[in-house]
Amino acid sequence: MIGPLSALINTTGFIYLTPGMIFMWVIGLVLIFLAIKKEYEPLLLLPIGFGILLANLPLSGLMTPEHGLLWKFYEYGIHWEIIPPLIFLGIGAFTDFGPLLANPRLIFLGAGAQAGVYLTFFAAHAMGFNIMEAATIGIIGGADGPTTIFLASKLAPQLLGACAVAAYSYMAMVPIIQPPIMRLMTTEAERKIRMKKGRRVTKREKLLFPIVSTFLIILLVPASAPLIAMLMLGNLFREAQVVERLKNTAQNELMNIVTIFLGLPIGATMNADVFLQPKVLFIFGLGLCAFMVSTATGILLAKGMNLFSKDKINPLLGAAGVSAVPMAARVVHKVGMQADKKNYLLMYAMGPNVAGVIGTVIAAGIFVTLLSS
Amino acid sequence: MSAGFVFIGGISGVFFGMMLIYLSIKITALITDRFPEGSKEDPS
Repeated sequence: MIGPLSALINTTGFIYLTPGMIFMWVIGLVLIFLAIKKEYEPLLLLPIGFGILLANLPLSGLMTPEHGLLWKFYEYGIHWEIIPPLIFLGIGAFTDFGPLLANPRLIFLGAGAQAGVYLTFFAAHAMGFNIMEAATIGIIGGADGPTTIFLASKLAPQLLGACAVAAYSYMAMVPIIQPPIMRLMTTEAERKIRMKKGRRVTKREKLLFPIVSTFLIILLVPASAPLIAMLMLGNLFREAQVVERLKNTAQNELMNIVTIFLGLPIGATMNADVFLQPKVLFIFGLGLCAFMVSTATGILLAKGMNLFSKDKINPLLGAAGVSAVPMAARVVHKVGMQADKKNYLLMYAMGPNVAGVIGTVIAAGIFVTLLSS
Repeated sequence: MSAGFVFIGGISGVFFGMMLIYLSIKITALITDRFPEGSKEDPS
């Protein structure tokens, strides 16, 4: 009698539970709570949180190589680099490069904000992370979830879950993290600077931009091709105005589907054995530093450009150089309005904001080029 | 590959890439100004 009962109990997951798994449940539930109650990046944090719960249920086999359902999502969606580029297709279909084309010099603010990525890379390497892991941690500073996932899956898959959660968490916390840095680094007078109106952008320019920039960026950094190609194809759908169905699909149905298949397997990579290590805390700490430094370097670059420019740039725009679109641009607008209620910075901030997306992809492509050989 | 090389190469690479895009925007603007949409000289 005892034998069969014991065998029956052994087939359940209860006796294989560990304290680490239960701790991971708490983390998963916290993410689900933040997604539902606080609406912090709910589209990603909700499936990630649920994926964490699933990954920490013993004997489920969901992440068993070759057979597990979530392993297949991970392997064929993320490891094969299919899902992040598809997300970029949707982002491209959403993105209006008009504000960037109207004020092309603002593109450099998108580059300035990437300095935080490289400074944090250097700091992470100095703290003992290997060079691949350091690059993956540094890219969190770009505040771009799909690019972080793309780079992590290529260079440091063992850090994928932690880096993705850090990136999406900090993207959600842009309105909390950025304003104090913006106020600290700018004077009241600087925040009141009004931008000169940008030039008119023709439809043809908007149409040519995704084609020309695809050529230039991929020729310069071939490793960035999967992300840039999809980003610009999505944008071409948008600007061509003859493929509304494709544009709408890329923006809505496709984006929603791939978001589901992105979040779940990311959460599922976070099992207790992999995640509960001291270095994960360092990843979150360094990721936060990367994001803060990126904000600061963007502002500093805007101030530097003002030294040589007749038409002054409101330095707050530098903070929009991180690629959390459009959250960072909205925060710039809000902080600008607090200094001058009639200073509308949103459209100007969208320029460096979309430049930040391109800049982060180039930064990731350079990491891949230099490190994966 | 040393971290210092990646650091310097990375930052300069990003700025160089942005410079190329900046130039391409400027050149495209020059062309579209020269051949405004609907003009007789419009090559399209």
